[in-house]
Amino acid sequence: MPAAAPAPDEKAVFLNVPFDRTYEPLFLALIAALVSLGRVPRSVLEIPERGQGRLRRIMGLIEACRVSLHDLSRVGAPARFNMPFELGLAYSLRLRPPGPRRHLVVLLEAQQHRLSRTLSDLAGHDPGIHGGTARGVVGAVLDNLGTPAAGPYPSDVYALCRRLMRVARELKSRDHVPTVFSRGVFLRTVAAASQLAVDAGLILP
Amino acid sequence: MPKKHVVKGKRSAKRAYKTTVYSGRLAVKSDSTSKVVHSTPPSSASEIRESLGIPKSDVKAAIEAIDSVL
Repeated sequence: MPAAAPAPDEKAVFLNVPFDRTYEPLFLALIAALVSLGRVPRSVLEIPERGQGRLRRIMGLIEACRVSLHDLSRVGAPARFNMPFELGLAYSLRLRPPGPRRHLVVLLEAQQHRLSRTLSDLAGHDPGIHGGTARGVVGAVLDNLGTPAAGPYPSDVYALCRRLMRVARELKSRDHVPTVFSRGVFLRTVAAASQLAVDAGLILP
Repeated sequence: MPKKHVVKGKRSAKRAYKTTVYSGRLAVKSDSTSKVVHSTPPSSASEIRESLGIPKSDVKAAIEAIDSVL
């Protein structure tokens, strides 16, 4: 009998998003919003490229997170299948017998009503609509994972996001890399976001 | 009038669609997205860094970058 999987981290959120330059501002907005909520952004960027075991480690990472967040807004050419594939992996966890630690799936899209055409199997699931903007991403994340009564305010999180964008530019420059989509820059970006959130009084040190 | 009938049909189809989406949203919400997730207390900055296994050298580099641009 296989050993039971360890309990997922309640605060960890697996990010299933496109890793390309045009998505970078939205990715930084996701990190800013999640860290502002005291949540831990997790990504396959943490997993080194070593071939065969990669898929198993991705699945392990999704299982280790209580929540996964899937942006399905990249629907044009060239076709990208990683996001729908990883959504399928995450959804398979949702189909396990219901319990207090059931995996939660949050969907994001850029356009209203498009998901019902591109992925009709998910009819009835309402994605957060970000309109392709960082501000929209902040709003969608706070809508899905925040508590309106307890804050933070979207304007505060967006201000943090703008500061994080400047810091990320500096981190990329120091590493001589074009995007934040590498293991080292991703980790340093999350570290910077957590420090900025402390400075803004959004989370504890 | 055929034209009028088409417009009316479109409107009612839109209403039906909106109702479906709204029902879906309620279904997802009641499926514990908000209640369970919101009951989790937020992590501190050190807990976030620890969960990700961010080395101290990376934290230092991040703080240096903040200091240099902000």
